[in-house]
Amino acid sequence: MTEQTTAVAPPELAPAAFAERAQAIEAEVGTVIVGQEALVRQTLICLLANGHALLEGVPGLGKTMLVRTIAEVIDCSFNRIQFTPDLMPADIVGTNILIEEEGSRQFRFQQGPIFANLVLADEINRATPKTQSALLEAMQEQQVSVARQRYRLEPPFFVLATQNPLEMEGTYPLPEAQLDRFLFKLWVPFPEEDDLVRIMDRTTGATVPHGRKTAAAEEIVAMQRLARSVPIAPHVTAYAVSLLAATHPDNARAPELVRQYVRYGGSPRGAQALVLAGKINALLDGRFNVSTDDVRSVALPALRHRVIRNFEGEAEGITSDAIVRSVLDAVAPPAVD
Amino acid sequence: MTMGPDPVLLDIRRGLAPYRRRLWLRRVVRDAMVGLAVLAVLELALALAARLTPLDWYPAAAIALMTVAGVALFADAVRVRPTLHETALALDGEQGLRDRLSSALELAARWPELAMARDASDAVDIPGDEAGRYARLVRLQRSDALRTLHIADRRAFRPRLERRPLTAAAVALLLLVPAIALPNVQNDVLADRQRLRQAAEQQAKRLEETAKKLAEGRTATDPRTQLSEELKRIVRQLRERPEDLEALLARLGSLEDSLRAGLDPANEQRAAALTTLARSLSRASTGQDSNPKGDPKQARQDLERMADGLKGKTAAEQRKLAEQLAGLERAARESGAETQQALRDAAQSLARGDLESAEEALRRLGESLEREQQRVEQQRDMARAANELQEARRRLADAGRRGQQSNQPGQQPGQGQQPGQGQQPGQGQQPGQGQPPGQGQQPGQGQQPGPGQQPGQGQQPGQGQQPGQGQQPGPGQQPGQGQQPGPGQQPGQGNQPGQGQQPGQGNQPGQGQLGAGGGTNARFLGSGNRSGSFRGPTQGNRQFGTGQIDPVLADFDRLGKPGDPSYVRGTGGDGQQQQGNGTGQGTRNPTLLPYTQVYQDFADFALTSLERSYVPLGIRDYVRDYFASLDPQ
Repeated sequence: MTEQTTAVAPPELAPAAFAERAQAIEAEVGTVIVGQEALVRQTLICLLANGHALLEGVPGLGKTMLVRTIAEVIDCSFNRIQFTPDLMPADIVGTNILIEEEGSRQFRFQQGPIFANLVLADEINRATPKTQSALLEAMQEQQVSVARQRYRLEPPFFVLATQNPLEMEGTYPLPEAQLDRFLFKLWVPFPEEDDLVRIMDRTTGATVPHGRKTAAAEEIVAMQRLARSVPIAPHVTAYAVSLLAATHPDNARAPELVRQYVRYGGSPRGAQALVLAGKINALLDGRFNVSTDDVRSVALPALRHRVIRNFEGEAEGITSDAIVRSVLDAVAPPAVD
Repeated sequence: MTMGPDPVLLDIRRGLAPYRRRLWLRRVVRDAMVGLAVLAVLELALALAARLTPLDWYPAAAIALMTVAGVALFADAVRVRPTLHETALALDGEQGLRDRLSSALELAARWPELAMARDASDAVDIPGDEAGRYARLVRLQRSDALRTLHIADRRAFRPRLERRPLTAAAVALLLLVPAIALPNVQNDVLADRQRLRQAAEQQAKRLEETAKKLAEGRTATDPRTQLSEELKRIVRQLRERPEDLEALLARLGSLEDSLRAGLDPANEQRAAALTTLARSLSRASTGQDSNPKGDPKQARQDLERMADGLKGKTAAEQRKLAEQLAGLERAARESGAETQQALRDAAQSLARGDLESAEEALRRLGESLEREQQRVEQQRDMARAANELQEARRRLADAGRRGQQSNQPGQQPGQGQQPGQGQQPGQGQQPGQGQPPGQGQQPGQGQQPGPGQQPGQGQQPGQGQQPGQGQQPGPGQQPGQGQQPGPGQQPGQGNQPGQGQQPGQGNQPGQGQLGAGGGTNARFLGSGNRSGSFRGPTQGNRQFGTGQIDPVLADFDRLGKPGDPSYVRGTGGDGQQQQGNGTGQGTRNPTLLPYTQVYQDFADFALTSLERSYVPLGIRDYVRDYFASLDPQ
């Protein structure tokens, strides 16, 4: 198996500039996306953590608009894949096609839409699990294997998937392995009335706002590298692990809700998500250390899709958010009196 | 190149030092409040327990609790001294520093190389690899932490007074003050227990001494030796279980009863007769009062000499001697049958002129005198032991009774006790004997005062005031004594001052004013006017001298003092309630009789009383000598 890579070494970024750059991106996205500050912040955290986000919300809330705006603000390539039941894996990752060139025929790899810095997997739950799984390698390894050839995806690689919770007909729920690949699962809330008014103003006029290029892809990569270097104290790491462990029903610190309604708790990727997102959160806050508050603030999006409810939980309508909140209540950060 | 610790890190540690002290103080105050609350609650519980039940160890336990609390607080203060990391974590939490300080310390501890000062090249040329980026962020974080520390509130970690322990401590302390300050009846109980232990020890010593004396020079078969062993066992019980008063009194009473059952009531009479006989025999032998004390040993020697000299006497002298011996018949009869027989044989043999038989009879008479004397001594020892037991029992009962009375404030002397409450009749001064009123102690006496030692109980108010027949009636004005009829119960003894212990003889009624509920024993006389209602027999005061011996319940160290109250065991009954005045004026007894007409009755009664009552030996001798000196014969 051969490997093709096009990665280049990103420039260094001063730590103090991290928050500044991130805030600039946020501000620029905010010129298009009205309200949804938390959603934008969490999406940005996913991007800077080199993770992927699954956005869930009813149609029309601006999920696609958000991803497209981010792609506009960040100077990088962007592809959108509309997932449908007949979508095939090759339609995503690409395929080898036979071409005739200089009198000879040969196979050449035709990249799929996955080959972009930002990939919008729209309505991902409409594709079959087989097609959904085509994203697994790309999301985890940031590479694609086709016909014994590995193709490295260009950093930054950021998958933003959306799914519609209302339309259950003809949908294929994402398998747990697929869900676990997403750093965050984000709820897209319905805008406030004031925000709706502003949305009307912006989208029904003669001109539609567009985001300006604010950050280059290299800067994003540099920010990603810097974020991973943020030091984290052992007690904060231990707290993140405790939170994750408490999502398991057989854990001693698991709250009653977990013991009663959870079949499986979060995987270690959950703790990784907590720590990584906590680091971004700390940097965005102008700090160079991760605090337990950072971990707590990202616990909901990082864990809600990793907690697998049992039958009773689903039957009684216990939401994953309620379970994660009970975990946060049960596991207090280390404190000294 | 050796580098020292990062100065930023040192500044952080230095800056945390005052916070560390403040956090330490807060912890100590917090734990002290909890400790104080626990201590106060425990002390309160202990104080309440000490009010419900007598606890000998209460003061020690209270002090021990405080000591333990102090030690625990000290140990806890040492234990809760925070580390720098704890201080940083606490400061992060309290000041909202987002784990900056704790992260700085933890990272320095985890990466010691990053805790060192950065060298000059490092300061200029920041490495671009992962490790360099990490080190740079660690130092940035450290600087950020120091900056944050500088703006932290210097007054952080103010000691907190937790409401719950504070309230608990305050309430417990408020309750503890009256619980400690107010009088505690259990203290009296404890004092009584102590008094009882002391009394038991004193009586143990006395009985031990008695046992020792009883065993001196005795053979194993001598009943006094066995008595000595029993006394030693009682002494052990006294010392080991002084608080088991009922059992002690019962055992003492049982032994005393068995001893008294074996006593010859006529022992002192026999002793007196022996003395008289020995004295007379010596006079008959020597022709002069050579044996004024009536020593039987000397009398035996004199009889030996008389026997040896019989053959040298004329017939007239022998007849005269026979008459003299015959004249001693009465004294010999009282000395014992053997003595009487030997004397009679000697007199008859002399009268017949049978000198050999007379000589043998005289020798037998001498031996008999000595044997009788030994019997008298043995009886006296047993009687002394019985008296010691009675005394021990009385003192122990007194000690126990004082405790009971001190625990019953309403029954204090002079407070007008209601009769019929509290102690049963017959418990009086003979606790443990449990003799019900009217059972045998004073059969035929009839007029017995009220039931027991309760002040005001069993008294016969308004029925006293009967003067004695003697010339020295009781002095009157003595307030009544619980069980004791008023003063002046001394039988008229001519010119003799009333001997309160002497039960009345003949027809001499007691004089005292009964019914004045006063003290509970002879030593503590009630005073003042008392009024109260009592339930007692409807009969009046008992008349003395009905031939029955009253048990004397008074101390003998005051015998012979005019006006001392004497009293006899009372019997209970549901008599009418009466109000009485405890004071009275004694009147002189106008009766005058030649003492020669009553001497013998008084002497017999006195000697009998000596036998049946607890009278110290010195007093006995005194009484005997007194009557001997008055003997008209």
